[in-house]
Amino acid sequence: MKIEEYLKELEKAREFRRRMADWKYIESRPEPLKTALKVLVETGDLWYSATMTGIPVDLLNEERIKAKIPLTVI
Amino acid sequence: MELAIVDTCFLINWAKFRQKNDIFNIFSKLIIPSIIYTEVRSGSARSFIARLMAEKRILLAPRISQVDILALKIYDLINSHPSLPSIDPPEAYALALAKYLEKPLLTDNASPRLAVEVINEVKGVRVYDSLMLLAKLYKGNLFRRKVKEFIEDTHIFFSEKRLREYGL
Repeated sequence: MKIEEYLKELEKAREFRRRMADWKYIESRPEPLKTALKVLVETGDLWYSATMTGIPVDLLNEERIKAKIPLTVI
Repeated sequence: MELAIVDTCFLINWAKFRQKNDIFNIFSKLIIPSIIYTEVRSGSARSFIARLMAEKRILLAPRISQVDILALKIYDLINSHPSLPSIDPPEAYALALAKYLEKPLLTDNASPRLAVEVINEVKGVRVYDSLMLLAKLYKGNLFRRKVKEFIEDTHIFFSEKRLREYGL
């Protein structure tokens, strides 16, 4: 895949996350989990979202699934 | 069968897949860099990894200074590239280890997969994502069914473009 194509797919994936996420669930979570989930929706980067908020990666992944945030392999 | 290097997110995802052990039909053992293993702290992923460690099917790679130096270089080259998606430090280490040991890297992050095409320091490293592995494991209708099950179990999706490449 060319890098230009990748960037297009990246934007599609971001839109998909925004559309599919359960925002009610995300807003109901305590901090810093709420922020981590919002960052995850925007970036799609589990490691980055977990690290910047101090949440273990695997715990954030469990929360991601409950919050219905899809991650897309491009 | 050969060994493969694996990154955190990939392993966390596969730990949720109902047929996670099928990965050992392709690779005899998986190697986790110790720098990555410390990131997995709870839940099904940790118990999955611990069980496989007890069975000697997952090995912990010690931190090696030569790999650290290469990882830092890769981290700098990828993150300063104008078009490549950014790479995280643990993933840069996993990619460097894959280069150092001449083993494939398993990751669902596109950054290493694109980097091996444009960054000379990592050219030649084989990078496989979950869809590539599912395609290696299963054929025909079984492949189609397993992709669906993988998505159900992990909530990891594949872009339409990638699915089309595999006739899905």
